[in-house]
Amino acid sequence: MTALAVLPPGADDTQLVRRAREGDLSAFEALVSRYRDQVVRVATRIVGRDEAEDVAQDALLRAFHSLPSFRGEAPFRSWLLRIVHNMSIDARNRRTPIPIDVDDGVSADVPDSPRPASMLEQHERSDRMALKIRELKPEHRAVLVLRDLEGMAYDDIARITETPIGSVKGRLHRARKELIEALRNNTYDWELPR
Amino acid sequence: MTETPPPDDRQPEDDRLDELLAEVRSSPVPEAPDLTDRVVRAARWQRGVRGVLMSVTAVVTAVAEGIGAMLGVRHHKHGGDE
Repeated sequence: MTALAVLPPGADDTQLVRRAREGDLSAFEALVSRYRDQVVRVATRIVGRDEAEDVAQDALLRAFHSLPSFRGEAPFRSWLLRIVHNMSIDARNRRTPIPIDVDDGVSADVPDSPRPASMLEQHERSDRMALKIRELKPEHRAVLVLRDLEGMAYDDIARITETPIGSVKGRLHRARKELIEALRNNTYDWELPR
Repeated sequence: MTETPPPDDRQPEDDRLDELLAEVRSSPVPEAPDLTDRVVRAARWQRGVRGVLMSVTAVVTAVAEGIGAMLGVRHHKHGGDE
């Protein structure tokens, strides 16, 4: 998009948000480009690959229309990820019980060409793990994704999930325990005495 | 509120979980290269529709207010004639 050229190079989020609120779509486009990958990643890890792109698109559009209500009290990224988080949880809640199927799309992109056995094994183990994560309670899953997979700070997670930091830590602890318990029943991946 | 155990309280199961989570972290997530274009196109379209709707609403409101004012004036006039 040529309009991006008129944006100041290295414009920070505050500048881009201000311009997007004034109707500059190229500024909004720059924000989307900046956070698209993380938005898709978080959505994928909460709702799964099949729905992630739709959730990501809806969340970004909702963010666009909600920009006038963004007061800048929290960083734009936290505000955006709160929308992604809420819409991912809503999408998950709307769905009927989780189809636990090892062919749930997560293995669909394994290329036909031969891969080293260890890589293939790791890929499959990672797919099974992703499914186990999606079986966690939604509030536990979100915190685990944001902390252990996205590496976000507790205060950021508290803002995104609109939960006190103490509860975030508690949820993370329970999520990990829940996951360990689920993995203990999976002798393929756990590899520790049960 | 229970918290994540501090590092010295860690059990082998925490380490194993972290290994498995690290694999998930490093596994590729789907790329959505055209997502930006789709979102911006939809935002432009929706903003246009919203603009048109707001204009239509403004016109309808103005017409309604005009008619209301005219009727009010006539009603007032009739009331005054009596």
